[in-house]
Amino acid sequence: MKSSASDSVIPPMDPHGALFLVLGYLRLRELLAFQSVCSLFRDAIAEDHLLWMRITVEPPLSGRLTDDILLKLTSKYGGALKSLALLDCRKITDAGLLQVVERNPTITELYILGSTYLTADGVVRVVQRLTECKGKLKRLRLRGLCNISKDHLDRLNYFLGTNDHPQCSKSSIYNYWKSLPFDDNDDRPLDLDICPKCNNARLVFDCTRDNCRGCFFCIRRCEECGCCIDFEELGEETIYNHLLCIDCWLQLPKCCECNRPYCKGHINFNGECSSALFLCDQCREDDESPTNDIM
Amino acid sequence: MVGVKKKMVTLVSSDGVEFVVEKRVAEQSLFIKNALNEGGVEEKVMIPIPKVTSDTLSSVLEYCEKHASATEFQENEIEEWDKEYIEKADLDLLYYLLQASYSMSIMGLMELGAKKVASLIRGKSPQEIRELFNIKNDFTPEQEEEIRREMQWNYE
Repeated sequence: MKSSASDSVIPPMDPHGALFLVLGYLRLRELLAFQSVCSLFRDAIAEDHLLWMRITVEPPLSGRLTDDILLKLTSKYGGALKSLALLDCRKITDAGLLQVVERNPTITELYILGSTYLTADGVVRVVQRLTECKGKLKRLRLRGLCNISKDHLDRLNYFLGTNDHPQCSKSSIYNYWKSLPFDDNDDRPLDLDICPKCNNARLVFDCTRDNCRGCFFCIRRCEECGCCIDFEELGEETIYNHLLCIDCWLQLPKCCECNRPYCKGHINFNGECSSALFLCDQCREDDESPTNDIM
Repeated sequence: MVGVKKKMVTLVSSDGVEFVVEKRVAEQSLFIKNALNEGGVEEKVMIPIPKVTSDTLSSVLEYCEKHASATEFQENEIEEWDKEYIEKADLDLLYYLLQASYSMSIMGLMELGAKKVASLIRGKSPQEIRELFNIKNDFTPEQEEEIRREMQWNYE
């Protein structure tokens, strides 16, 4: 994009008023960068408490986020945090998270996706503390938390008050869940459930074909429609090695070299149009890279 | 006359240029929609749009026109159109579009512009952002030092 402002010889000045309108749309990393640009931004961002009510820490920031920094970020507006999402925040510990919720009992949404130091026991303590502080935690997402047992899940459900209100009947469908945003519109308080097959606490999916229900490990499912896949059907894969049922595989346009389709979620990702003839990224890469066959 | 006569409204930009558009197009702006409802007037409505110049207004109306007939298109078609539309705006127009969509309450356009700005600064350092938007660094050396300490983790 051509920037007409920097082409001309106008000396640097205060930021254009329009830029203040975008603050609410910035991710944490950009917001922090904006804060270091000039004093007008710095003051505007520090004073706007709405910007600090929902905090999402995602890569590349997550790997550098320590307990201390998280505490500072979440204390910016005197403990009125509503939503905290920690995506792949490897350095955050149980004690660190506990401190954050103690100062922010207002948290209603907590998303913990992929973490190394956080333990199931620790998260249960965090949720328990929120309940003790008369917090109103409504939504807890723990996808990717290790070693969570049925007992943990029971306690979490108890603190969340899920037992009083039976789980909503909305079924949870497998398709595209890997590319779904973490704050999906799912209204269940907790994303984990007990898999009826293996009895472990996991993400449990409902089938779109019959009434089977089970976790990722127990039932293979089609990336496209979310139905279960029989062993006879196994073998149809997308370019990204996702499984497809035979019906979906037949319908999708396929790469003209390797004959594998993109699932719909990835078509949008890659901007591949629906034209019948296309070359997938992997085949294109193979074509472009010099081959040593002739030598 | 053949067919139903479409309801038209006239919008007047800050520099006095008149734009005659269909009511359903103009109503993409909540500001105009409310103005029309309050007025209760039917024919030949003139609505002044303060602070929005004719250049900007014509671009805003291009957006409104497309989105007023959004039901005729598929969702990804509109997305593609949005992408191209905002791509061809230069920085000055982007500023004006943001301010116009804010004052005219066109949330979709506002979001589109804001996301464009966000994409421009993604991964950039404060100095690169200053250069991009021609912003003066007005921090004192002490403040700079304080910010550097505070933000160090962000750039490690």
